[in-house]
Amino acid sequence: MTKKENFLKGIFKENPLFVALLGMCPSLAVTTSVENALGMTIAVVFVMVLSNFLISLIMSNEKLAALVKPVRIPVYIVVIATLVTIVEMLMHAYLISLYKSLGIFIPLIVVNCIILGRAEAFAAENKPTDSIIDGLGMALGFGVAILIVSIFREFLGTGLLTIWGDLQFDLNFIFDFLRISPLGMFTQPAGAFISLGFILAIIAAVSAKRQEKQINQVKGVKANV
Amino acid sequence: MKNNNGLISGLVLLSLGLICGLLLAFVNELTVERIEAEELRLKFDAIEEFYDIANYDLEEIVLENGTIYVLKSQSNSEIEHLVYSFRAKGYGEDVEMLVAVNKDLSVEGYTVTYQNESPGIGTKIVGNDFNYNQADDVSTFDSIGGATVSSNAVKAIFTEVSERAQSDFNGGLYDDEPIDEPNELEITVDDFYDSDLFDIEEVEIEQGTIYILRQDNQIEHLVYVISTPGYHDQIEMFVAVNKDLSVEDYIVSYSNENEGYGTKIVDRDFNYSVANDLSTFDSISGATVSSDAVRHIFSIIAERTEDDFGGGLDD
Repeated sequence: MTKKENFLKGIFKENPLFVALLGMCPSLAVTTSVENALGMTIAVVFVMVLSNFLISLIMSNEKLAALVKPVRIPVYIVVIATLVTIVEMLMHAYLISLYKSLGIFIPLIVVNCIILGRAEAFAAENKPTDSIIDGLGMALGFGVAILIVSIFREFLGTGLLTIWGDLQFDLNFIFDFLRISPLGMFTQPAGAFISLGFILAIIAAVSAKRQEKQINQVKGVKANV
Repeated sequence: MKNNNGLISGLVLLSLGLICGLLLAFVNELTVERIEAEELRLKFDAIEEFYDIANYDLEEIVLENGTIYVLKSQSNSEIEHLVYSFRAKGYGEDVEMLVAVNKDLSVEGYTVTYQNESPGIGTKIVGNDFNYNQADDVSTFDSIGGATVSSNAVKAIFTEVSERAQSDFNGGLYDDEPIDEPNELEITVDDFYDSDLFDIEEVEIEQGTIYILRQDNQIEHLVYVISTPGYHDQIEMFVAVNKDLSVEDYIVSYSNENEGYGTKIVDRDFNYSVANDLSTFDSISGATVSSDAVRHIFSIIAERTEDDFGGGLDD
């Protein structure tokens, strides 16, 4: 696998949220606004890249790996929890409104199965550089996915798109044009599941169409042969 | 060796834990001050929604269940507004609110400063109009349908404000504060002058005692021991005045004021240097009652000291 493929697989082919359906809890909880999704993405990128790097560094040393192996899951958790706590403290100090907005979901990154999953499945068995690329690709894939869900939910639920702080787009004119009100339900937990369901359905439909096209192409080639 | 592998693995984990702990302690050290400043800024920003802080003397009173921000007039130190920062149990976590109350008990406004309620349901408490307009009356409170627990948290906060607002404006603001051990010192004339050098006479007056220090039948110094009511108890002070009416020194010999506020009168420089001139007197912000008591003692001295040195004491 090339470095580019390693990076892109997290965004498309093995997207943690849309394909593997991992990390659903924070994804559904924080996607009430685009700003929250961006904040969560920043936190996850920081934690995932560094945790992948550190775990890969530990496990690439044969002697250390042999000692760590029996206690590797607690080791991963200690590393991840430390990084998450650092992110939490930095966010509290420098992005306090985002910190307040994300609330309990920042510390919950510790138990995000994407991060622990990549540590065990990839970082523990690959070189530090590849692990960094994998972590970056996966975290960005997760970020892109929750951004899509948040755009969907915030727009349909409030008619707004809050990008960062005061940078907010008011798209209520679309609802005015359609003579309907924003559907507040989309900012609620039920709306989160419905949004994700819709998006997964669209992705499945597009994938099925592409597969069908590829099969038809293969069939066409065979018929020509 | 193989038998020790588990132990060594445990030690590796322990070492990693220690390294991570040190790293976290370092980051905490770097961020802790900024976090405190940001939290304070956030709170002050919220207070600024109601009042322009620059126009008032701001005092913070920490209670068991929250904080009260006291906004006092800069001219006469009167309490103009109180901003309550109280918490109550919500659905998710505690709900924290600021409630701004004016002197006439009208509610200037309220805002939710922290909540972790159910998105879309409990979160409706943010920015909602609960129809709470008079601080001592929660009967008009409008609950939010479907968010009972969160509404009840808000109502609990308003109820707490309603129960104490009037009393707070009428002087009960400091009643909840812990009272320190009384400050009690054994002061004598020797703390100011060498008593062996003078003939000392003791004169009782209505407000206390005056020690007259004479040399060759001339009054050289007067040491006033005056007592007056403070916030919780009497405040007793020794004030030593020289013949030229300069104030030699003053010491609080007994007080039992509020810890952190009224207790500031002990060892405080009130800028009182000429016995019959109180114009330079420096009050203590946040300890009005205690400062006023000290000022009252000085004013008793200021009114009579010139006369006392001029022979009034003989009368």
